[in-house]
Amino acid sequence: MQQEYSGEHMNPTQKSRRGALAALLVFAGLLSSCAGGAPNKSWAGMAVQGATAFLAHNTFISAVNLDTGQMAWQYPAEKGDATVLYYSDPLIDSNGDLVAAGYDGTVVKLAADSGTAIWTMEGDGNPIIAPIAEGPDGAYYASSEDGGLLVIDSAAGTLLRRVDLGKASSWGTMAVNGDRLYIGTIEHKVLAYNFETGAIDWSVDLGASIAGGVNLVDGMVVVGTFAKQVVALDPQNGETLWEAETDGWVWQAPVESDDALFAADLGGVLRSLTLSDGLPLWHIELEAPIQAGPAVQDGTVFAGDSQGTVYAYSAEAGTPAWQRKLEGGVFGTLRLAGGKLLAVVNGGKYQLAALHPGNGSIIWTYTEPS
Amino acid sequence: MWDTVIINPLINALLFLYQLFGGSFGLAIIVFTVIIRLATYPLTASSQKSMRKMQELQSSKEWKDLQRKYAKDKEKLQAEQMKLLQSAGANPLGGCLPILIQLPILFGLYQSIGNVIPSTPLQLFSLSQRIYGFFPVSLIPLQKNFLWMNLAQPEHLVVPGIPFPIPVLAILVFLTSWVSQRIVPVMTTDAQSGQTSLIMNIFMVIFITQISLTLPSGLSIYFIVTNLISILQYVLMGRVDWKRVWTFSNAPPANPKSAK
Repeated sequence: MQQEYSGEHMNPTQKSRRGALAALLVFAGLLSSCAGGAPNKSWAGMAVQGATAFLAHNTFISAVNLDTGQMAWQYPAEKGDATVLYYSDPLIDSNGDLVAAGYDGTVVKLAADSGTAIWTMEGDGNPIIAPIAEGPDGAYYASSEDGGLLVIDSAAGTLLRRVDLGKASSWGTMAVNGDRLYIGTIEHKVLAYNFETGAIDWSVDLGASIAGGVNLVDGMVVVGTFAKQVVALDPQNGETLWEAETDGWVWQAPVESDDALFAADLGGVLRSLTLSDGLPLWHIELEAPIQAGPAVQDGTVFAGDSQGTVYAYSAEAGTPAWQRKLEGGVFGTLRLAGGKLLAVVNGGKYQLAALHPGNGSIIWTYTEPS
Repeated sequence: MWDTVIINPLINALLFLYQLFGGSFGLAIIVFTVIIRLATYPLTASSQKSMRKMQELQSSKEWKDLQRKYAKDKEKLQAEQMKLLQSAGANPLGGCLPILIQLPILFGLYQSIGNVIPSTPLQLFSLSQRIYGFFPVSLIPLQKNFLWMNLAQPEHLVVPGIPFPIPVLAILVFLTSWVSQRIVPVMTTDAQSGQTSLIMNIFMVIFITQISLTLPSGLSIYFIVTNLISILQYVLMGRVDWKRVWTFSNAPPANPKSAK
């Protein structure tokens, strides 16, 4: 960019160019203010224990009383100490403690009743996006975005070892069954890690990302993939038992109830499949993409779409029961606890909503402190 | 509207090039930059021609005569100067048009790179809503590494033995920005305006370099390639003065006609 000035006053050329330069500087300022290292936007991770829901969002982990919708505690307590970003669902381990993974690879263990830190394991800079799993050996297992499975001492908070998953990382829930950890990865693979041998027993490539993790259902490993499929695998060897086609990318793993599987996809379709062979039972086209995993209870299946509508349908026939519009999109996984349907909300005034499962009325909403 | 017209097409263009170049996002950005510069070349060439006319006009006797004649009437002077520019076919905005045209592309590219290489689940969801249906889903996730860089993150090269990481791309942005701004002679009529112009040059180079330190490295690649193309264009047009790269002065030449 060349600037020419001729004389003491500004001529039309100078005026025009200064105006353009001002616009460029404003743009550069905007770009600069938008720039940064780690991105900081995603929906909250959620875990539930007893009468408390735990949210991991941005730089805080919050405990929310399910009866009142009020915050019970927040970690860290001081805003100045809030430097780690949290997105994934926290783990409630077998002792009732809460374990959360941060975007820089930090892992923190908290006392669930008070939010007091028990230990913090510093991160290596590689994000941990998937929820941490607890193995039968009592250790924690975390999938790091650099393709490593971190095995963490649950008592000391130290790294025991790192298992190379071969450039595969999980963004969703890992499932534990007996002596194996089943991992669905964003790099198209489902792996079975053997706790006893510390090796990968099998790995299958499904050709598309598995973003929402793995579910163990009736002796099968069930996943949803971006190839618009629900796939059931043999947990022993990874062989495909059946595949079912969907209308859109399937994010969360399907859930099971009464010999049926319920899956939702980004095409906005909620469907029911037979558990044994994935044949379609019914399907309903909703109004917007569905990223959140459905929930099932007492013959009712619940789903929430990215525009914020929560739906309830009869699990057997897919007949509508109710629907409710929330402020913001519904993401993550719907959960039923304490007599309430809990929905993580993103992009609106509140981050968590509790609805009455029977009629969808909003009991309370929770807004995290700014 | 912005997403539909700018961001989504940019994202899908990058995906197309990514697929074309065997899964190299770095190559896709480089080729994308070349295509954008080729597409905007007619406008760039026209504005450079207009800029040259303005430079010549501002050194002319007619321009100086106007300044003398309307020294006490600034409004009249500006009006007459504008008439003179228009009669000569020069556009006052000429030198800025290439920058202004690239602004939405730059901002769109910044947003696109963040969307194409999602780092969070929400970004991945956003990408899922933007990809055109004919792309194979097996493309996701994109390989975000190019040479030593993670294209979704600011770049720093760790060299064994050196205690701090080296921002190689930011250095290249600085060097290429400086050279592309300095190699074209500026025809100023007085030292003060030349100095002001130099200060603004330096400020812009430093500013662009500073934001390169914090932006995803994919965008820094775009800056570098853009600057290299500009340098090549000036060289091919025969309008370069390499000596100016090593100077910190925009003072008017003793003989204006000696500048190319």
